Amino acid sequence: MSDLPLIQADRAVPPPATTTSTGGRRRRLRLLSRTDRVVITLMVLVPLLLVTGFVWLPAAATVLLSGTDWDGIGPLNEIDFVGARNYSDVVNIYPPFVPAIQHNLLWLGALFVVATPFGMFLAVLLDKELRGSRFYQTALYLPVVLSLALIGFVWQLLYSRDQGLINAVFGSNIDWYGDSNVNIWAVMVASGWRHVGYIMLLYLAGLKGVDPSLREAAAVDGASESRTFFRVVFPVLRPINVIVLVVTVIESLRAFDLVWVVNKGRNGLELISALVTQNVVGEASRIGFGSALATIMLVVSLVFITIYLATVMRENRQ
Amino acid sequence: MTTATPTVAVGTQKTDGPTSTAGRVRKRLNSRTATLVSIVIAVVWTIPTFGLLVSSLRPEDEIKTTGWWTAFTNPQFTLENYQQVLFGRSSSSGQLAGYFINSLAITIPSVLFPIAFACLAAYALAWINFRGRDWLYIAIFALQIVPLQMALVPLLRFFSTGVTLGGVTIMPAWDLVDEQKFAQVWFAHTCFALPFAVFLLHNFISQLPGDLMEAARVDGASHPKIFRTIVLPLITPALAALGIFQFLWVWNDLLVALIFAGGSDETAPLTVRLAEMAGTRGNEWQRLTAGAFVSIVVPLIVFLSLQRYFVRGLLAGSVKG
Repeated sequence: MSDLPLIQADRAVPPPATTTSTGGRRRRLRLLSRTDRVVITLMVLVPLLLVTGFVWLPAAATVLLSGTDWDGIGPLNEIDFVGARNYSDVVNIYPPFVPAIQHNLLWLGALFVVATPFGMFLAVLLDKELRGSRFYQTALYLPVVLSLALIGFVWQLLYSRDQGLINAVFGSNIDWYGDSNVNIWAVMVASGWRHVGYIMLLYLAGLKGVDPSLREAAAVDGASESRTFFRVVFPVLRPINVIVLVVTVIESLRAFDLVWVVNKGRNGLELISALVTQNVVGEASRIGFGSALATIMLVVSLVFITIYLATVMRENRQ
Repeated sequence: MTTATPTVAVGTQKTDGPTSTAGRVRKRLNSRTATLVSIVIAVVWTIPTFGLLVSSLRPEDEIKTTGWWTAFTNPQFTLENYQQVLFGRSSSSGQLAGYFINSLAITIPSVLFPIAFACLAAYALAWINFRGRDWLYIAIFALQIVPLQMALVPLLRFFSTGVTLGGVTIMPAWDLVDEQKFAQVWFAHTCFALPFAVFLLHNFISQLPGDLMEAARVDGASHPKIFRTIVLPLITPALAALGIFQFLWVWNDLLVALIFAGGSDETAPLTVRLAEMAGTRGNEWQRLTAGAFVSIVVPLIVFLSLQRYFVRGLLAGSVKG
C-alpha cells in the first residue's frame, strides 16, 4: 500500500519544470516565497475559518446554550441562565435518558462484539481468492451503499407483523419494530447488516496490503491457518484495527437515521442522538435541554477522540 | 497492492505443492467449504434488498395484502409503481423526479467544495513548514468525532439571524428563500466534511516522496505550481476515494437535509421525501419501494464503478505492507 505513490510517481509525474535563465533565479526564489506566503495563508485560512466558524463556534454555542432555558424562538438577550438545571433534569426527571445511554452502549457492544468480528471473518474468507468472489463481495457491499434511513424500511419487508418474511417463515406473530421489548435488537440487526459490509471492505483492503512473505514464513514453520492469522497477520493489521475501532465507535455514537425513520426514537428505541434531535427540532423546541443532551454526547465522544489521538501520536513518533 | 496479490497465489502453491496429496485434498476441501459458506452468507445478505426489488415490481393491491415472497407462487409484475413515483402528477404519488434533482443539486457541490478546500489545506499542512502547524492539524482533525447534533441549532441560528459579537456584525443574516436554501446545505455539508477530508488527504499527501518537492523547490517552482503539477496528479486515487465517501454520505444523509433543507419541496432531497413516505407507510408502501430503488441507483453506480479507488485511497498510508 505504501508503495503506491511511488509507483504512480514514475508514471504520472511530468518532467520537472524547466528553469529559466539562471541569472534571475535567486531573486525569483525570494519573490516567489512572498506570493507563497499569501497562498499558504489562503490555503490554510479558508478551511480553518470555515471549520472554526461553522463547527467549533456552533459547538461552543451549544455548550453555552445548555446552561439556559432558551426555547429557540425568543431573542437571545432575553434568555436566562439556569446553571446546571438542565443537566440535573436530564438525569433526574427525563425518563428516556437512562434507556438511551443503555441502548447506545448496547449498540456499541453489539457492533463491536458481533458485527466487527464477523466482517473481519468475511474479509479473511473472501481474501482466499475463491471463484466468483467478486459476486460475494458485491452482495456484501450492497448495504454499505444504502442510507440508514432506507435500511430502516428495507427491513420492514422482513420485520412487518403481517407481511414480514420472518413471521411467515417461523410462524411467529411479533411486531419486530413495534414491540418495545425486541425492537432495539431488530434495529441493531439491520444496522449490523450494513456495518459488516463496511468492516469487510476495510479489512479486505488491509489484507491485500499484508506482505505475503509473512504468511509463507508462517506456513513453512507449520503454523495452522487460524494461528497464522491471529499471531502473524492480525498484529500487522494494527493500523486498520485502529481505523475499524474508530469507525465502529463513531457509527454507534452517531446512530440516528435508523431509529428516526422507524419511530422517531421512541417506545424502546431511545438513543441519545435521537433525543437531542427530538428536543431541538421537535415540536417541544427545548433548545437548552437538548443542548445539555448534546453536550453529554460530546463528552462521551471526547473520551474516544482522546484515545484515538493518543494512539495516532504514538504511531507517528515511531 | 495490485502487484502483491499474484505473489500470494504463487507463494502458497510453492510451499504447499510438493508436501502431500492429503494436504492438497484438505486444501481443496477447505476452499470448497469456504465457497459454500460465502454463497450462503451472500444469499442471506441479499434477501432484504432482493425483497425490496421484488416488492417494487408488484401491483399495489398485492403489496398491501400479501408478503413479497408470494410473488413467486403467484407472479404478477408491473412497472406501474416506478411510473407513478417518477412521473406521477398527483401530490400523493411521490413526485420523486423533482426530489431526485434536488438530491443532485445538493450532492454535487457538497462533494466538490470540501474536496477542493481539503486538498489545499492538506498540502499546506503536510509540506509547508510554519509555526503552529501540528496544533492546527489537531484542531481540525479532532472535530471529526464531534457529533453533528452539537452544531446544528446554533448553525441554523447563524444562518437565519447572522452573527453579532459585542454589537459588531460579523456575518449578516442570509435570509434565504426557496432554492437559495441549497447554499445553507452546501455550507453545512462542506464544514462537517472538512475534518475527515483533511485527515484523509493529509495521510496521503504526507506520504509523497519528499525529493520530488525539494527538487521542484530548488528549480524555483512556487507552492501553487508544485501543487498543481506534482501533487494533484499523484493524489487522484485519494481524491476519488474521498469523492465516493463524501458522495455516499451526502446522498444518504437525512439529518442535515432535514434541518437545513427540509420542509419545502424546492429543496428537500430524496431521503427526506422517502422518510416522509415511510411515515405514512400504510398508504404509500408500494410507491415507497419503487422510490427506494430509484434512490439506490445513483450511489450504486458511483460505488461499483469507483470501488477500486475507494479501498486504495482510503487506506493508503495507513497499511504498511
